[in-house]
Amino acid sequence: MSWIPPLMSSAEPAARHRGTLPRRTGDARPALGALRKEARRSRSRAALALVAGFLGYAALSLFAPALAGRPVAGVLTVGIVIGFVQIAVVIAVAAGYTRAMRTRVDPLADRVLAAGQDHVYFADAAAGGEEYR
Amino acid sequence: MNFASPGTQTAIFVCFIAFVGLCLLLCTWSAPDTDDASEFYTAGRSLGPLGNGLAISGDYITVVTLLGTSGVVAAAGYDGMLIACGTVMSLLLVMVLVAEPLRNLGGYTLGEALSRRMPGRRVRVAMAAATLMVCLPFLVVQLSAVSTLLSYLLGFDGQGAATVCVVSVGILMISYAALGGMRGTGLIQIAKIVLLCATVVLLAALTIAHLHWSLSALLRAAAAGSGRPGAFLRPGLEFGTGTLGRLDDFSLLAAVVLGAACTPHVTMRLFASRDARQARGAMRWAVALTGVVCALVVVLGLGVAAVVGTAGARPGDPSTLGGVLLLSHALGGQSGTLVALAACTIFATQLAAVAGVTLAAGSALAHDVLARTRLLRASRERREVVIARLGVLGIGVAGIALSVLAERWNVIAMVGLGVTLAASTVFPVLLYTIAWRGFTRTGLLWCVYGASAAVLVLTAFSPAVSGLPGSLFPNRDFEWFPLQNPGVVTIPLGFALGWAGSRAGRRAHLVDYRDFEVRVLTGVGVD
Repeated sequence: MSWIPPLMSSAEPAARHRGTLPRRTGDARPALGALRKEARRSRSRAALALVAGFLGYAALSLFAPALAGRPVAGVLTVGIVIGFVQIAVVIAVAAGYTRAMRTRVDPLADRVLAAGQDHVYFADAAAGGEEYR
Repeated sequence: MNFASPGTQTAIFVCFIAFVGLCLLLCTWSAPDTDDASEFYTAGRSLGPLGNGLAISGDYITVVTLLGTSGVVAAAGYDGMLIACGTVMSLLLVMVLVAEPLRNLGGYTLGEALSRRMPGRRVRVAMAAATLMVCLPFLVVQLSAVSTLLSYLLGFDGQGAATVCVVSVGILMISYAALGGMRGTGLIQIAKIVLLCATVVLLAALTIAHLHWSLSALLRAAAAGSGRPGAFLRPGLEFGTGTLGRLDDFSLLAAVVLGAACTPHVTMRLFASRDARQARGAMRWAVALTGVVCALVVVLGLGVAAVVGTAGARPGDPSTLGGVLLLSHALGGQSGTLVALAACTIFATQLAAVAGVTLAAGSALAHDVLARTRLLRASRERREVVIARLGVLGIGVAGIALSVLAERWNVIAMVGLGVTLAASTVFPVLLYTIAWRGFTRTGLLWCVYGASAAVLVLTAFSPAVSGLPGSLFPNRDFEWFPLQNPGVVTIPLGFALGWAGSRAGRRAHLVDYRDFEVRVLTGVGVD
């Protein structure tokens, strides 16, 4: 963890006393910033794909029924084909999200945790985090 | 109507008793020998990802999916397929957005998890209120479906006999939930989902085999059997093809995708994972299983239309719930084994769902409200489990009473109410808490109380309650809000109220946001 600057400088003893992270160290903690960014990115990407995909499909079916009901082959219509595509969307999003979390987010979280091992906040929280009860 | 021969009825009865006995065995065998609150609420976090994933999908797939969705597919074709699709999407959405942060916050209930950011009694009471409002419609639907099915199977139409069945089955499952807690209901959910998967796979295979293993033959036969061959494979049969009907349908689908899995009985299972990564693994199993079951449920719905025929059926009417039974009767011929298997599966699904939903609602009532009153706060740890059991019993009794009253209500309307409440209150609150730094307690309270009041008022004056033949009060007419599902109004309203309340209220920083963020992202300090 030598590459990560200490989470808290010794110049802020008051913060150590309260058991909270010091307020002005946001830029001094690149691991947490990177973790926040990566987690947000993989979550919002997956969620957006799901919600936009499904509500788009629903809106197309309901408000453009002529298009959704257009036959493709036999009894299959455009709408039913898109329904099958949704199955592929579910599989792709679940797999993509799990992979993004495992390869990008989990290692960053581990680094933040490792860097905080000797930090007073983590010690307090691990001891029960009584202030949140 | 009664199609089951006396021999079949005996077989059903034996299966039913066997399942009830199995549940009792699981509950007493797994019952904690200590009065440990963590044991009661989270099963000591001992289930691995696979076990927990099975339990989550067991809690998520209820009679509503098995019979309700297949009934809508049978009666309205395309519209039902959209609902099945939305059901899977919703669980996946919860997996990617809230599952891991929620597990990192820890606790036993939604209220306790959110109190990590906003401590205090008011937030916990608000989340307990939201939990109860979301859970009660689900509970009522499961219980009232019991009587519908019994009248199919055993052939009695008497109101009194049905009520006795609902009450006795309800009491049975509620005592399981009160006794077994999270571990007992978890094992019941696992037993049920295994049985459910086996039955659904078998029935779907027989259905497709009946139509010579051809998907297009199935679709064609279903369209013909529905009595509306031109419209069956197109959208619009459920709510009509007018602008309002389409908007109503869209509203229901939006509520399903955003709210169906944001229900407390699903989120409660997340707290039973050991950590966030195990919660992710569990959700992966749950999504996979739910996807397979929902796809097969669509096949069953099409099978009902193709083999049994659904001409004249109204989507969501309690009478459409029997479709899967009629299908298994038609496919199984004279032997009756298949009907017995299907009936047993349906009962297992109902019983497990009643137990799961009651446990979630009762836990919220006990842990967030009762256990924090001054009277009961003394010697908390020891008494907490007693209070939790009382809470479960109280919720169960309320659910039974309501379901006896609302026996003939449209199932889809009832479920629609539950998911709309979840999508308008729980979903915005969770999203804001996890991802928005500016969210405050005032915003949370405005969102929970404002949006749920809007849902209840708009539903009360909608055609779901009065004015139409399928309404709760078909003979009265006080409707002025045109949509049965108000989600298209109330979901944006929930988000807007959460934002406005956060802007308007006092911006008291009760908890340092950085500390909270570290906790959400890494789970540090979680028990």
